[in-house]
Amino acid sequence: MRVLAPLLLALAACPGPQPYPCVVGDLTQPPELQLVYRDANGAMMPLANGAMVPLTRAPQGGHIMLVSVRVKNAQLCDATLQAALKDPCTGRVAGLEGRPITWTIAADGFAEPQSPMELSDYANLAVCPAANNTREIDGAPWKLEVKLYQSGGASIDQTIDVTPSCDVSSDPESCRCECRFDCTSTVDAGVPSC
Amino acid sequence: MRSALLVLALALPACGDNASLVTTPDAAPIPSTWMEELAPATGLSVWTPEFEVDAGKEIQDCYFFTVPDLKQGADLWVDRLELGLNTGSHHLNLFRVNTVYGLDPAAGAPVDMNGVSGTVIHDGECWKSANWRDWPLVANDQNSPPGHPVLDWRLPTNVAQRFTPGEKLMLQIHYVNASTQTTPARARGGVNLHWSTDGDTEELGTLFATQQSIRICRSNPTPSYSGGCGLPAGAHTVVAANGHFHSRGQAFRIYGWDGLNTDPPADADMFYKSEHWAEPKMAIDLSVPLVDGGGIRWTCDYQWIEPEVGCAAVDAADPQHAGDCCYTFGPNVETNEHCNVFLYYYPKAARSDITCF
Repeated sequence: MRVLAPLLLALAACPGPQPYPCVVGDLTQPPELQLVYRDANGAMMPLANGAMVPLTRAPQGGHIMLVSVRVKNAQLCDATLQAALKDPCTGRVAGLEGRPITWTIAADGFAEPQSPMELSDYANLAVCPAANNTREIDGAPWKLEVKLYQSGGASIDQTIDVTPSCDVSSDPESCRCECRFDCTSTVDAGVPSC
Repeated sequence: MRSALLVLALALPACGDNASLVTTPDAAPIPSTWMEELAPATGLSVWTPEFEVDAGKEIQDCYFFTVPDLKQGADLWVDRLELGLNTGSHHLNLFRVNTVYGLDPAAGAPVDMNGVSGTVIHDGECWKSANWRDWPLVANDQNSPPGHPVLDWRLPTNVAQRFTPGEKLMLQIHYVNASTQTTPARARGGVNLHWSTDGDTEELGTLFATQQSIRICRSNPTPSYSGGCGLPAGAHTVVAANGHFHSRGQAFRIYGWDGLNTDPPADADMFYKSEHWAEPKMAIDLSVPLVDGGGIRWTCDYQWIEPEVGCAAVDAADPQHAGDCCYTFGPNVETNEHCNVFLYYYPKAARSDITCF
């Protein structure tokens, strides 16, 4: 019966007609989290430490980073994804967003965004413009902190280095302006060393 | 209750020709007190004409007008705003016109707004929020209960909003006469901007934030969305705030934030909560100091409900065509949802008013 417990948990249905199981993998095993981002062509790509992350024009304006996760050995029902872009020097947060994700179970046993082409299955991390920003965002190193909050409040966390980039934005010029310390200035604030 | 309402309504002083009648479905007409017209030396009254909202319809109109030059080119300071909406309104937003994208004041039809000439764009581009993506917020109002169409907002001592002569403003009003909200009588919106006369020196700043790409779906009926927005360095005090969502919205919370901590915000930091989507509280008596270098966080909690207009209409408005009866980001009350923060603080950040999206 003890052996069956995780299986039973895994089979437990979500409240409502949710199209995925409440648990992915085995909760007795350590959770596994893989970060992903949406590239300029709308494809879901693995997000490695030190990677460049494209800034995308958001529907209502501004430029956003689209970050999500693939996860295993975790609870999915009522899970909330949260992403934050942090200044590596000060720890100050330039953008923070939390949302639910609609999951699908991939062949490798990981839960991943069901609609990787869509904006809604990624944290829409609004970072340009950021009123509290004091350093360049485009092309500069930042910390990306990602948390997956499971029901009950426990979270699976991962923080990596990333470089947001306007290079593949549909309007790189306005992206660079919005990402500058002062968009009315033509002078970059530069990237101060910590 | 009805008697009490009538007594209260009769006790309210009528305002000359500006008093109109508002009807409610189960009560006799209630006298509704509109604003008094301001003389040019006192302020600026900009009121839209009254209009009908046909049953089953939503209307969103964008009225444009120009700040007059009353002091030989000097800036005008406003320390009291009256925001008026006849019953049935969904919202009134006042923005400063900045970059013109699809919503061009010059393309509007001429309109007289109680003696103030301007133009109006009816529906169409006035529905598309990307058109005012860099237009700084001035003020907003979502409250229009029967008999009380005017929000009288006096800014704190020594605080005022600054306007430059020739500056173009946009007054946007949204009316609904459908299933989730109704407009029982003629619609109208307007603002009275009272000039400051006591030498206010602290400029009011605004912050407008919105969560995009939100989805409230039948298969995931209780989603929550959250955001954070920092203010530039310096001491700032929040003086007013309100949140905006539609009828699936259950709770809108706004918190003070140190700009560093990414753990879930604590209840002790919450300074605004609304559980009433149709008439959300506009908190105008706040005095919330924000941490230097900090900002705000907010959460929007939703409960999916069977749409009054049917899932086919909601699905048709879903850009993903998921077939899951998902209410998605947008302005239409019946088929879309929002999670918008309107925040007012001083002193205004040096660079400009703040948008977070």
